[in-house]
Amino acid sequence: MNERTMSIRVPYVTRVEGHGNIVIDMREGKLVTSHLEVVEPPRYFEAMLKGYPYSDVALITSRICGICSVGHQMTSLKATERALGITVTDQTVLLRKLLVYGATMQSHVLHIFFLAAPDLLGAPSVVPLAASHPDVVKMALRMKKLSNDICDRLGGRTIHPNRLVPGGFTKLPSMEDLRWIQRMLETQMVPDAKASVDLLASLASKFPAFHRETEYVGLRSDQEYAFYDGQIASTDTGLSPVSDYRSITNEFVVPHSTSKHCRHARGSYSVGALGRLNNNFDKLNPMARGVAERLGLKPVVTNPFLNTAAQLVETVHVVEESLKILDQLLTRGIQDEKPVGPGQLREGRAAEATEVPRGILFHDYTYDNRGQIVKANCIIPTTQNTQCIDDDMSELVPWMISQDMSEEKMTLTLEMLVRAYDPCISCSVHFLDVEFRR
Amino acid sequence: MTIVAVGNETMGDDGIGPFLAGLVRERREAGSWPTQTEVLCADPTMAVCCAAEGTPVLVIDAADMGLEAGEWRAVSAREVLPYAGGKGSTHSMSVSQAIQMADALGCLDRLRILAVQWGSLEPGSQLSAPVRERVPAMLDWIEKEAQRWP
Repeated sequence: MNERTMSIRVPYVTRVEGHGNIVIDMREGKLVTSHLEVVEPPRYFEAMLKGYPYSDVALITSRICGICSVGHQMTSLKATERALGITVTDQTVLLRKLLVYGATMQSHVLHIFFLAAPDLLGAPSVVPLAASHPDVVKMALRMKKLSNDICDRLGGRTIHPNRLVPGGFTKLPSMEDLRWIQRMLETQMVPDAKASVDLLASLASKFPAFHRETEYVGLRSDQEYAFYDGQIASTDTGLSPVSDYRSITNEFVVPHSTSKHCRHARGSYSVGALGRLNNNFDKLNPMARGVAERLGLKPVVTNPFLNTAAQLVETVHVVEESLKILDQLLTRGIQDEKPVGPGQLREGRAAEATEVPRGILFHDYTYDNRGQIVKANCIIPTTQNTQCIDDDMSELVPWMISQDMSEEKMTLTLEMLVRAYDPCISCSVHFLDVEFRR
Repeated sequence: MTIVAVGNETMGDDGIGPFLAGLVRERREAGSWPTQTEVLCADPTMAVCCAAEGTPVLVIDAADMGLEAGEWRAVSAREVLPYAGGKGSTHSMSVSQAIQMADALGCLDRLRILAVQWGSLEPGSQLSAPVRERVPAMLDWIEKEAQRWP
């Protein structure tokens, strides 16, 4: 019988966005504490939005994150448009999807190669990895730069795009921009993505063989593998409209974290690449589906470490999806469309969701009749994953002991678990009810 | 040559890189810049991306070098490699880490750094007067550098 007593502390987990600590305490075989402590201060973005006009809101919320800036902007625009009754054109939707896919490549490549790959290839960080595996890092840099360039050509910047406004784009990409993206995806990204799959397949045994059943949540659409739009899908409870998002998230506060936690049908749920893959597997494009099968991913995937592998499947999927959209846009040509205005301003409230790289993102806005924000709520994917990480740790520690792992190996495995979720810790911190008294 | 401008335009002199990059872009678009200099306002990772692909890169960043505000130094990445280290932000690689990575990838000699001593990093402010005064001289130097390293 295990009567082990041990403590594991990882202050400031590295290779994640933001600051979080791993705290594990076991006393005489009983796991007393297994937490990811989020120690970031609150951000107050929702409070900052109060009083701002609808035209400025997406530019402000884009600043919530330097990695998911496109996702925040997109979700924000959709919520504003629904609240104010703005219907965008088909061309706008296609261009926005293209940008979302570019941002997904940007973020997934960053996580797979710069944050997760050092663990799989035995390097402490990406800088030593560049010395030991220069070809891998050069390939990652190529992929990262191309995805940055795609975002730049479509959104005007590599991050925090400035061409997206409610109703459309202030500046449209040229046909030459689209042809360039198409050419680069075909000639550079596709071969690099295939080489990445070969690499990850060769490293499959490096992922801990740990499984824990949980609820997986992501958007789902009848038309496609959902990123831009859809209903909320749960592997436990099926579909729900986005307007009911609070009945899914059920935020609550825990003493060890400045990030709220979420739970739905079980004690916690998981969002992110696995949340999407487990709810949208049938919608994967052919090449991506082949990659999933090669990497051993078949729903319901219950190994949280394989979120990184699912991100690679999605990288291939969004490349295929981007090429489809580019075919459509290049065939029909870019129409010189001005952003659609709101017409007569009115009071309104709407919640919208987009799949950003780390999972489902909700923005919920209430506007007054001058088109100014009265109330805002943003629920970020990492907020939804923090309880799931804690629950994983609770089962991972006994599992690691059963595998006779050294404490050093356990520590690394716990760090790998947190990194597998690709958490955006500083973005996960928000307060709903902020009152300023003067 | 590719310019990689690092910094935040809403944080006082931290925005010197994007400010100079904007001027280069304006001149290039007006046809008064002598070369096809590519300009990126991005994190330092992009500097390594470009250098690894064979492109000479000039990184422009604000720095604290113990000088008077607005003084600037142009150095090769190799010159500052012995001092490179430390940590990046939680969102991106630091210039220091980019130098280390460029060294590991064998493209260090394609990186040059234009470091500008900041005077103020006040959130919400623009460039300080001492830094703004030096902008024309910096721009002239960048133009010459672009011609030397087209």
